[in-house]
Amino acid sequence: MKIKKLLSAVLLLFILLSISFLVYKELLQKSYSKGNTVAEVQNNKESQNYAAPPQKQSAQDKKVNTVDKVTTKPVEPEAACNFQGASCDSNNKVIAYYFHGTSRCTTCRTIERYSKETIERYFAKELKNKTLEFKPINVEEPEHRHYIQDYQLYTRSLVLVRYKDDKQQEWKNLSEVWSYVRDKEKFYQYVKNETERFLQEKE
Amino acid sequence: MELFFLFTAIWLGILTSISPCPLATNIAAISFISHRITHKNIVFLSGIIYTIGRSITYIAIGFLIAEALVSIPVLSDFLQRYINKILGILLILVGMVLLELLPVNLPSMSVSGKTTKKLVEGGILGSLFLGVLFALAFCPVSAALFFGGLIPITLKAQSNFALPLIYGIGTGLPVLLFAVLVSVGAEYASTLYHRVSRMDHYMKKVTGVIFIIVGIYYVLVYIFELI
Repeated sequence: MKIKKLLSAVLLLFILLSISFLVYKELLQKSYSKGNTVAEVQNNKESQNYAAPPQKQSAQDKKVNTVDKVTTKPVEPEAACNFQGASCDSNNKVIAYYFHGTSRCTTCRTIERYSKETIERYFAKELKNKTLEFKPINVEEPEHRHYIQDYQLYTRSLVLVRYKDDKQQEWKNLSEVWSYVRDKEKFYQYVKNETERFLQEKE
Repeated sequence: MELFFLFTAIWLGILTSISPCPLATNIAAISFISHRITHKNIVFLSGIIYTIGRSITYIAIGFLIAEALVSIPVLSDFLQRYINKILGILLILVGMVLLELLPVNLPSMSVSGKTTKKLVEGGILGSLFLGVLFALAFCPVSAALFFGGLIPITLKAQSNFALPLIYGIGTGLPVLLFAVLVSVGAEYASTLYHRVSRMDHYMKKVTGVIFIIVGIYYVLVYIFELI
């Protein structure tokens, strides 16, 4: 009988703890997004992005600098390049976004890994001269939530976006990655072909 | 063509049923519907009702999208963000009720009517509720299959009842199969009814434990984001 009571106490405590943690996290996110639109002057640019997604690149790069912990590539030089304006050719480029959430599933990790591998294997030159970039982004972070609407995301996705003069020209959700994830070679081929098409149309 | 769509719907459903999230919930569902193991008809019926519950959810979501009452990204994001979080807590609570750690007075007893009472006692209503709830728990893989696979073909075929229904049956197929096996097995086992008579009691405990474990797993993954 004692064990029963102890067990229920522990479980109820666990539930209570999880609920309070959940509420705390939600409140934290809410206050963050409020601060985003009202308080910080720098982020005013960002809120404009919600209305006009095509023009968001420079603001995005700024965000990558400060917030995006997931990006493994060094982004500073490229971002600095953007700030200096048109002298750098990186404002004509293709970005391959991998959008994920906070909790990562095995298949999702595989898709991210394969995407990165494809791009690194076949597009080393483009990565080097900054005409192509691979960016993993967590859409559950408040400042990245607008991507869900921008690119109509319903799950973890690989999205190619082509920018010309910092303006978004075309985007495509490579939704077939989910069908090809079980066949590495097909996956590589699919991402390679689509990326090539995006890069070529830029010329 | 029609046949092709139907086949695709059930295939997507089967793929969904073995993807991580639905698999975890289906395991919980299997243990729930088989806790009345000595009543083979109830087990069988619960399996069907659970599967229908899943279908109801998918039909409802399909309807909302087809009527453009809600957009796919908004709905998918909402379900993936919140349902899984609430689900863990609910599972632990249900598990505690099954283990009799929490006293619950079923209000429906006063509603009277033998059938209602029977339904509640047999866990039939519970199975329906579980089906509806578990189908709402989307994760990346199942969201890709449902929103990226099924929804486009239901819109194309303009069949937002039959295809989600078939898909729902597909997602509940492992549970349905198990229910059939239990029904058959229970009949066989009933010849040893001396021992089996207390099996319901133990199965209920086992179910409670499984619910709590699955619940804790969900809480750790989706609330504390530890796993």
